Amino acid sequence: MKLMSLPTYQIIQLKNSSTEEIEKYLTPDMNLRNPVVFDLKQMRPEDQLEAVGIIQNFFYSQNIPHQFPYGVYLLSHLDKTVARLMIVSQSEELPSFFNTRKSKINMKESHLADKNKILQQDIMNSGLQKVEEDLQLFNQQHRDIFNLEKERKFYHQILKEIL
Amino acid sequence: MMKKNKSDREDLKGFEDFIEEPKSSSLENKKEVSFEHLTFLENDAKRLQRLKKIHRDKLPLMKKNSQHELLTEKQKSEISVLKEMLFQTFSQENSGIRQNLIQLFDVFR
Repeated sequence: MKLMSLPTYQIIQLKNSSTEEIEKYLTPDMNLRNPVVFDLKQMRPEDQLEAVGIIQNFFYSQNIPHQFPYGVYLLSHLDKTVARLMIVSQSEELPSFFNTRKSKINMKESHLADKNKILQQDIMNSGLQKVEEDLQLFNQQHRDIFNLEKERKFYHQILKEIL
Repeated sequence: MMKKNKSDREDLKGFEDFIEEPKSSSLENKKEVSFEHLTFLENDAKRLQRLKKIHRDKLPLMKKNSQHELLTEKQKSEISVLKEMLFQTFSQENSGIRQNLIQLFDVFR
């Protein structure tokens, strides 16, 4: 029986922005078992931008979810706003939850990891494209409410001061 | 027993630097790592279950019973009332803003 591994970060060091090089690592279920980090820091900024484009295009053109069950992160010097994927400038900015010591796991842990495997698959099969759309809508609605409340408070404050 | 331990420690005062603490055995370290992995996997299971619950139950429920429209309608109507009140206040003869504007324009006369 093959022992499972822990869902810790799988770090992929990319050295150039060629499509063939990047596509080797891109599979629809790449983030099914563990979070993935593409380390682009060794590349020139313009190559980093190109690589980000290729990776983002892979997820968005085929509607492949990049946030669930585990996230896909880009380690890059680029600004966070250049892509819809999650960009971090230092590995310390990555969620610390998945930072755990890597070593072989025993039978008991392997059984637990096996159970988690069912949950991971369950999440993957729960119509993630729809989930992502719903989450975006939900985010937008909250932003609307926040902005309107900000405006309302602003007028309220002026009235309070002049009356 | 406690007294003895305390007096032992007092006897060793000043010599702490020369005394090596017994190092934990590799077996203990191994157990610690293993326990860490078990906790990590349990926490990940909880995280996955919560995600599943959000995707399956909470999101559809929130979508079905969205309060967005109701809230934004209320906010918009409150904003228009406040704006109306502000314009009425500003347009009064003796309002501060009007007086300030008069003074400002008088400078350019």
